[in-house]
Amino acid sequence: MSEINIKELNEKIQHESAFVDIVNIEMNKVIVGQKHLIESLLIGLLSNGHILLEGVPGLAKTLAINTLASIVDAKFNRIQFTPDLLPADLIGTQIYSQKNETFQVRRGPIFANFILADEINRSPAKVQSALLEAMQERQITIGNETFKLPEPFLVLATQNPIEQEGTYPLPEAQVDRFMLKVVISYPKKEEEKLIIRQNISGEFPKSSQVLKPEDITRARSVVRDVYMDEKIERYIVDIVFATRTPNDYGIGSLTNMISYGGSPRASICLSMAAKAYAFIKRRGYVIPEDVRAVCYDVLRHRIGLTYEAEAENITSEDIITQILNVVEVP
Amino acid sequence: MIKRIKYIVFLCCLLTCANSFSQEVKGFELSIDKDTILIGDHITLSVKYKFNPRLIASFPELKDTVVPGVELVRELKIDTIRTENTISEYVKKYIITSFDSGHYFIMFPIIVEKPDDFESPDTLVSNIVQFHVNTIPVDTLTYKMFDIKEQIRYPIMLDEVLLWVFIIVAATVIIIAGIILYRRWKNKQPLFGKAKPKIPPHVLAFKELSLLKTEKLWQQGKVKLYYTRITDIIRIYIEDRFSIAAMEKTSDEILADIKKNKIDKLYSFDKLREMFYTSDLVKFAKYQSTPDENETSFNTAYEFVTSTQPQQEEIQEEQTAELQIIDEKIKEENTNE
Repeated sequence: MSEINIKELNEKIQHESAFVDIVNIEMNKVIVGQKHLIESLLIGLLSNGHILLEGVPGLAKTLAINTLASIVDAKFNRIQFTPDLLPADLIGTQIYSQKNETFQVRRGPIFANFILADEINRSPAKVQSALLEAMQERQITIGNETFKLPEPFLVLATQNPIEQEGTYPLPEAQVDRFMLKVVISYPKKEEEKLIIRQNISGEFPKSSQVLKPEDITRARSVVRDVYMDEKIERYIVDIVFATRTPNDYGIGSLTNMISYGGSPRASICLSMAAKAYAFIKRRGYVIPEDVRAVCYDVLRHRIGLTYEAEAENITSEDIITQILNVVEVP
Repeated sequence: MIKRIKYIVFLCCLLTCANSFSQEVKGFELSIDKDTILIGDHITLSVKYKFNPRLIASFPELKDTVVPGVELVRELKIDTIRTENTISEYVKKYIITSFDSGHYFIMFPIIVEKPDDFESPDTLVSNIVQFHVNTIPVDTLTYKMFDIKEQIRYPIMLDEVLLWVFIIVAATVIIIAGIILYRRWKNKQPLFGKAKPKIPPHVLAFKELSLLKTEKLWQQGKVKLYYTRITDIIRIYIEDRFSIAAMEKTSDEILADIKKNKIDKLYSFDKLREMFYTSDLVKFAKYQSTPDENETSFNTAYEFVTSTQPQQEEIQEEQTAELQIIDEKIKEENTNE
């Protein structure tokens, strides 16, 4: 890629990423604060990756996804995961029509652009598998027929870190299919004051529909074109390898804390998310800051902790911090 | 020698209650291989029993003391001898001894049962055997008693100590070597060989910048390498000079740390930011910088090191402080003496 291409790409991205500001404005009409959550939702949307949101109740997880869906002219479905939910309730089933004397396919709520899988860990493994398979393959098979899921297709699953009784935690292999795991924290004091005012006034603001699914598809192709230098690729590989063999990076103390490190999917997701982040920041190239900005969300659910780490209250975030502190920035 | 006769009578009552089927079997025979022993000698006591196989005989289980004064040493297994068609002979042997002189009598009971009538066992009584235990005569008038001798303590030999001396010396050497190596590793000195004197960060940075200038990298088209070298020189300098882990930080993070540590008061922050920004563009965005930009970036790096290097006054202050510490130590030593 020559200098002109980078210049062209920068200009193209300046032009194509203009909608990011509009989306931000519309989102901020409804959501107070939660800048990181909004950014993560955009990264997932632009890099075609699904997102797992984790946070205590009342942090506007569902509201954020609802708002994003309302900004895009796309079909949105919310599925509340319960212990008695069946895969057929999700993907659909075949129903016998007495009138036609044939089986007819009745599509489930998964046939939408945006799926909010609320409290995904409340349903048993078979339902989770059905959803995660759809996420991976982006198609559904009912009976003998296979149906493509609409584009863009984005699953935003939420899970509650408290009340673990009667839940079915997602297996590590399935969590890996989520591109990002975003942990949402409480709003700041000023933000909370605004939330109170907004809710008490009774006039709840509404966001406008400003995007079409085609805009998202076009933006995704531009995101793929964002230039990533070989130095950045090496930096990403170094970070992921440090989760597997920390000893090679002078952090041998982490060897006993990590049961398994990031997979090649982690490297792919880290690259894609860094490109999307660069796009949001209106840059045509990735810099180390982009990698570091998305590193926690991409890696936190891909690092397995040992019992020793859990006993010492060491979290995957602590491990990522230590890794970022030792891996040399290009 | 004091001779005592001890009569032992076992289960007298059992003799009176022998029932009718005891008549069907012959009695059993008790015998010993010696009738006189010296105190502590062994005697083999044999119990022979002939009876109809329809009857089950239980030999008594002797405990440590056979009769008072006679002790059981060992019990041997029952030996079975077939002598006639239906009658078998059982021989059971016991090794006994006595540690008390005197005359002893031994008599045995044996319990027999009919297989079809376990509820009414019969007890047969053996013949009586007797033996005498002699002791050695001691003349109490001439006998002189001695105390137990104390344990002999042998002198410690060199061979015994040598191994321990070797272990202690080896352990001491290993510990001292470990401490030295650890200190060297901690001070980032070479583990083996003579430690090189530490080059001050600004001297190293100037040296590297001069080398970079002579290499003429950007003039040869190696702009990316040129900017990589410049940023690496500056990052290493910041790390050594201000103890900021700049090699593991991004440009924004380094600039934030420079502001935080108030280093921006020593040199133009904007110029430094411009240099890092241009470097990032060249390194990560294939930006082809102009010769002017290349020169400016080099000059910025050079000026930054010049402006932030320890000043002569600072060096003198450090040296004075060191001298003061040494003086105080000498004074303390003199006072102690």
